[in-house]
Amino acid sequence: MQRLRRQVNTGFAVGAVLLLLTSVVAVWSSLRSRDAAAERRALFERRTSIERLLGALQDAETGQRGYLVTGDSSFLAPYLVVAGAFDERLATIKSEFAGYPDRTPRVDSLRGLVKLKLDELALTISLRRAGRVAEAERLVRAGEGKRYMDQIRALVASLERDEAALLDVWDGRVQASDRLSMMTGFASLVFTAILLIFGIRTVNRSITARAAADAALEESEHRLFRLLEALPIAVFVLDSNGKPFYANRASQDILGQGIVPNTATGDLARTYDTFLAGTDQIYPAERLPILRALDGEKVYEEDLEIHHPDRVIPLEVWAAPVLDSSGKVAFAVAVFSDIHERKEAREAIRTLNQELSRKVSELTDVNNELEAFTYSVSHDLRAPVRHIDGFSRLLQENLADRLDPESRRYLERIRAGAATMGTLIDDLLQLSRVGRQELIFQRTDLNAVLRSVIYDLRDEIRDRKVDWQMEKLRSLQCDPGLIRQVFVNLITNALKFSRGRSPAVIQVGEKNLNGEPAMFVRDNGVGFDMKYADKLFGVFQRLHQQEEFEGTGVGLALVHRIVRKHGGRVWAEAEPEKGATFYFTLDGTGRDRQGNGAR
Amino acid sequence: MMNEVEILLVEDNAADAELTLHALKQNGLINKIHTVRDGAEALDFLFCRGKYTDREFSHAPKVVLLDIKLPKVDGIEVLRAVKNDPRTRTIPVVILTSSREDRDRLNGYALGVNSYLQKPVDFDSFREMVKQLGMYWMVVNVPPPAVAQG
Repeated sequence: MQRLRRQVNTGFAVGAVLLLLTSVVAVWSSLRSRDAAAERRALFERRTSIERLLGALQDAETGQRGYLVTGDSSFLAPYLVVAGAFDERLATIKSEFAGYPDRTPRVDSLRGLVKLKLDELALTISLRRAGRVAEAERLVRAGEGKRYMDQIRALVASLERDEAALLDVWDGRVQASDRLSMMTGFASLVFTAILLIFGIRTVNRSITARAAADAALEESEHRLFRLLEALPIAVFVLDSNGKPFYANRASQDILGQGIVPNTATGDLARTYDTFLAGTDQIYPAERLPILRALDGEKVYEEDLEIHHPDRVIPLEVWAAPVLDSSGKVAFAVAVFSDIHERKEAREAIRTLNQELSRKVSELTDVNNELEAFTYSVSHDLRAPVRHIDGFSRLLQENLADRLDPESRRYLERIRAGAATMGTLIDDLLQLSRVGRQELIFQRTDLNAVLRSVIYDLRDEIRDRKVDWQMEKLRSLQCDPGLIRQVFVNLITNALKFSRGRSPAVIQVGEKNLNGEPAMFVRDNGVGFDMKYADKLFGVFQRLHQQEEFEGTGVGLALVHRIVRKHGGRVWAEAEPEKGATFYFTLDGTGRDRQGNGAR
Repeated sequence: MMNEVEILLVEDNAADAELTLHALKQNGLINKIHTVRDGAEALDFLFCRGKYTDREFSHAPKVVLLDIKLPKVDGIEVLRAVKNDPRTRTIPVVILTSSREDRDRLNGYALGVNSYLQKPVDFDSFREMVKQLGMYWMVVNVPPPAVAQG
């Protein structure tokens, strides 16, 4: 802008100087032209004067001749008219040529000759008048008069030649000066035109620029306005006097109305039906966020509500002062949004939490009941079983001699049933205990665990041929007591179902499944049909008859529960008569947990 | 007569009591056994009150066989009372119960029980256990010196 102005100024200055110069030149040239014209006029006057002198002289001579010939005095009229004025004429001519010293001698000569001529004319006329015609004719014939006349003509011609030469000079000057005038005129025309065009362009440009700036400002303001209007969050602005200044569309939607003109600052809450959340109390003016913002405070509140006839809108409000360049509060702006969804969600969460804690408490009750039940099973159920066995035993002893073999067998049956019941109860209790027990993780050497398990089983396999094939196992984080139980149950199982084999081959090892170590226990026993595999780990589920292979159907359920508690899984692969392999993983290995967590 | 009691059996279940007594009888201890049927009576006996006011603290039983699940006052409370009183604290108490619950075992030992035994379901095992128990506390173990009255 500054540059443009400088350019414009420079342009106009240069134009003005050029115009001034051409004007000066034009004035000077026209002055010169005027001088030249005056000179020419004087020149023509001089020529006229000498020509008229010559003419008058010739007229006078002609009249003289006529009078001399005829004696008629009427021929003398031109002479009489001219003769009296000659002195005056000669004086005029002398003054006219005064400025030209080179001409002065000739003008003087001319005067002398004219006087001589006039004297000759006067003499001849007076001779004739006196009747001395012959004397007069003689005089004329002597040619003196004619000589004078010729000399006069020569002088006039000489002067006229000089004047003609002078005229050429002045004509040249006039032409030059005219040319200059024309040129300067043309130049000034051109400069004026340029200046005019330049000026018009500058004005136009400035008008255009101004208009563009105005349009841009308007567009920018309009854009800002549209943006504010389109904001999905409510914006409400007070001016520094606390009067409503602007309310965008979202705020109008929430408030139900836009700017209410002339609203007193203290009446804002009432005008816009703003209440203290959860009450019928108009929101106190001194706490109103936008008014606190007007005092320079930045505020966040969510205890406001707009009460409409048909609904209540809970709000969260941010308010802040808008400062002018001098740091004074120019506006206060409040931004707010409808938080009923959030409040409802919060309420829903609260309800859900209550529900959850109720469920937890129910669950705790159930757990407590379960525990009480377990306790009662442990105590109350075992006692009668023990009594059945005890009194059967005493009966056996007391009736030892009197019992027939069948009754003895019945008693044996009763006692066997009691024993099974006892084992079942103990197994169930163990299962329940594992379910409720907190795991105690320790770094555990599985090889040591395995050795101790096999050692404890030594009595059971004393009479059997068992081929142990033990691979080296890793150490891992687990509950050692429970993992021992897993191995006890799996190996006991393996021994049980390979009872008919000699040797029984029992293999314990580790297999890598997608980077996750899986322990396995494999036997060469009777195996099972895989279509029953899903029943393996259920409580009381058995795939063999009690007479064939004894058991309560709790052992694998226990294994399953322990492994699951460790975050691992257990499964089996088998084929009838071709042995079975039981696999289990433990999440406590700490390797590749996420890779296999989905299984 | 009550002062001669060597074994106090605290057992609410008649069948259990009978089987236990039967087992003890085979060891010739029948006359020195007294059976009470609930925790309150056990405390009366041990603290010489109620119908046992005639008893003297100085004649404490050599061992108390205590069931846990008892009417009125349970075994753990009985144990607590006994072990918290200087007059009874030295009496050996053996818990004889059907329960193998960790909670009971922990409570028992925490309160200073002298032994914790679980009754096996199998009567032969039970009998063997009671026999060993009787032998141990009556014969092998050296009892504490009699505590002076008060």
